[in-house]
Amino acid sequence: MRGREMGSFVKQPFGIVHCRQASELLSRAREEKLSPGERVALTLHLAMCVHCRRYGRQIKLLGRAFRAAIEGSNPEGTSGL
Amino acid sequence: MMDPSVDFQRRLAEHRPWLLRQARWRLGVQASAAEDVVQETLVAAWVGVESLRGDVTRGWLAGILRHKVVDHWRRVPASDVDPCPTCGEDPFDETDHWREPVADWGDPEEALHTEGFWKVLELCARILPERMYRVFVLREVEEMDVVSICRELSLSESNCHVLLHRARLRLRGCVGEKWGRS
Repeated sequence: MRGREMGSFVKQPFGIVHCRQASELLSRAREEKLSPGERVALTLHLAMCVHCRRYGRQIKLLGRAFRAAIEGSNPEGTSGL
Repeated sequence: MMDPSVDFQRRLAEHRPWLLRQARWRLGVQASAAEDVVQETLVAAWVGVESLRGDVTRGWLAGILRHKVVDHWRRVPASDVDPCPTCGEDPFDETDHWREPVADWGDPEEALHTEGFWKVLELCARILPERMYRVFVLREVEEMDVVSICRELSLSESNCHVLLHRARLRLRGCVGEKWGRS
């Protein structure tokens, strides 16, 4: 299972993850497809946790923002760096 | 046959401030290298003028800049100096829950159209250690896959995942602290 590489995921009983592990899964899900077990665990956690739902949305927004900044399409870019 | 004239030089020079901004965003904490990278970009643009059809465009220059940044990364190994050692603190407590609540950022569209957001992002880009920032840019901006990033930066795959995860935690924490509201 890929999750072991991130360290803490497998320390939890199957299917139960807390915010630390959920944030790892949210991050890795941006790179690759999670295993079915990981997806279930993440979905269950997100259903209960507003903080991790926000975290997921925010890391997505950060990706978008950096793309916009670097490709020069940000509307406020003229005042950037 | 296009004459690479003074006029062409002038038109290239007009794009310099914009290229500098782009280079600084790409380089993060190593922004001081931006001048050199832009200089190399302009020289390459000058040499490459014959392959250019039509006018000098930002898209054409940005393509050259991208390659020059990657060349620079290949030449200058990433420093492991942490520009913000306290930013690397574990955001989770011993029960694996967030130490601080994750504040709402409001409407993402609104954020992207607010000057304050870009200023915060600009500050936060500079608190990532270089290697972490390179991995993040290659993944989120260049949209390279992890295997290619590992090859480019000579990292193991698990190290790559860890760096991406830490980059996101750190960036989100930094932006959240300055931008988020509870």
